[in-house]
Parts: sequence; structure tokens; C-alpha cells
Amino acid sequence: MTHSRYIHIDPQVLLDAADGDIAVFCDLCQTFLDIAPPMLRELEAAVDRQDRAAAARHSHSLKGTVALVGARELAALLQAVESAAGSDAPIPDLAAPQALFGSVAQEVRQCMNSTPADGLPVAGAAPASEPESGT
Amino acid sequence: MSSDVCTTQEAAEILGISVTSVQQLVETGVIEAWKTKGGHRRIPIAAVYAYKNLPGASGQAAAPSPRSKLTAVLVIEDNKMQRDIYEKKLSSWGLPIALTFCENGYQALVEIASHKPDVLLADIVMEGIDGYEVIKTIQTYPGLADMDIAILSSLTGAEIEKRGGIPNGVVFFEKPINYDELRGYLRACCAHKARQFA
Repeated sequence: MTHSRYIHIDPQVLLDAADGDIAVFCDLCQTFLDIAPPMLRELEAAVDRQDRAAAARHSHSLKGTVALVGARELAALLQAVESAAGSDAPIPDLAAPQALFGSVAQEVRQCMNSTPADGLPVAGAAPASEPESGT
Repeated sequence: MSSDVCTTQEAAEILGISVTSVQQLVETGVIEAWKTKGGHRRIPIAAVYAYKNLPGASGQAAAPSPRSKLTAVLVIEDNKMQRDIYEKKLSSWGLPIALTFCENGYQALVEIASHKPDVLLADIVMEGIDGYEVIKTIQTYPGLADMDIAILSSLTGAEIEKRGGIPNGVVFFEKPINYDELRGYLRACCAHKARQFA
């Protein structure tokens, strides 16, 4: 039996939120993949037009969403964006959160596509096998 | 100016909310309004007071219904993933609750006006009318004074203080939510409701 391993998310966070229900867990993973990319795009657009209030709001929303999949490092980067946008400080460049978001989304997709034979998702080590293509 | 209509500013003062919130209530059709040739918004005063006229405001309680023994819980949360998690969690606790979800502050105020909940669980950071505005509006109505209110937010303590702190009588649950604590809070709210039928 192989175990998928994740370094950018902690699937146990979402599994606990789903009370261990794998079907609900997978539905929540799909919801994440549906709602999180548009949130990132809204944040990018807000930063591009230097709309601090919108950037603070969108980074806050995206931070909350990625926290639900245990993406702590990405959540911390988004907290920094939120804090800066809510003050007079320069808004950090989004390159790091954008890159990390891609990895987070990839791992959520892997997690969702894991089968019972792969065992329950376990956080801690490198992602399994080949990376998936697409966004 | 005609006494039958008012400006956005005057409507905001009557309702005790911000001008921006009034504008958004008008834009979403919750309160009717029109614009003069000069582009100035005019709002019928009757429409403002119709919106302000929430159940219980006159001091008269609504007649109890068979459904009313359930504790009516209204959750305001704009994040679909978080709403789905709340629904899963709260529904699994075996509590005598009737759950309703709203995606934003406007929907919540309309829902509160038509179906006064016993408990409000409110996110804070939302587009348009945020959770603070909803709570502030509720707290201006004596008929809603017995509503149990909790804030569920990932705002830090410092950010909460910047916004004026936790309103009196409101409980704060910081995200990530400790669901054992939230369950205990709702159990207490249900017990509070049950005393009405004792």
C-alpha cells in the first residue's frame, strides 16, 4: 500500500473538518479548487490597481480558504499581504504566494484523487510520483 | 426637499448604518430609490421605515409556531467551503436547531427581518455590509436584544481592536474554530431557548 504525502497542505485539517467523512472531504477539496483560484485572481487584480481595501479583503478571504486545507505557510504569506494592505506599508510582491498557491492546489487535487488503497492522506514528506498538468 | 423622500445620508441616520451600506441596499433592490435628473439619489421615507420595521420592534412578540421549539440559528458566512463545513459540523451535533445560511450581510438583515433567529453566528470580513454592521444594526432594536450573537472570524486580536473591539454581549470565536467550544456555546443557547417553553 502506498501513502501519498504532502508538504504544502495538511489534509488532516480538512479531514477533521469533515468529521472523517471521505466523501465530504473530497467534496470540500473540489469546492476549494472551484473557489480558491478566482479568489487569487481577485487579489491579483486588487494589487494591480493598488486598491488596498480590496487587497486586504481578498487576501483575508483567500487566507481563510487555504487555512481550511492546512496550507499554513501560504496562509502566513497571505496574512502578511493582508496586514500590509490594511496599513500604509508597501504591499508585498505576490510572486511567492502565487507560486505556493500552485503547489497547494496541486496537492489538494492529488489528495482528492487518492483512493482508499492509497491510505488516508498524511502530511510531512514529498508529494507522490508525477506532478499533474494543468492549473 | 419633499418630506416624503430623503437622501442617502438621511436614510443612513434613520437606520443607524453607514452611507455605503445604504447605497448597497439600494443597489441590490432591498430598499427602493430613484435618482433625480441631477443624479442625486432619493429614497422614499416609507421604504426606509419599512426596512427599519423589524419584528419585535413594537415590543409585541410573534405568535409561537410549531417550529419555534427549535433554536433558529442564522450563520452569515461568505465562503462556500466554510459554510459547507459549518453545515456538516452543526448538523452532526444532534442539537435541536434549525440552521439557515446567508452569504452576506444584506441577505442576513432581510432574513432577520422576516424570520428572527435565536442565535446569530457572523463572519466579519465580507463585501458590502460586514458582520460588524449587521451586529450594530441588530443591537439598535430592543426587540432583538435577546438574540445570542457570536463572531466567527480569522481577524487577529489587534485587528478586532482596530475595529472597535468585540461588541458588548457578543462572544468571539477565532478561526480556526474550536468546534468543541462552539458546540458548547450552541448547547447553552438551546438551553436558553428551551426555558421559554418550560
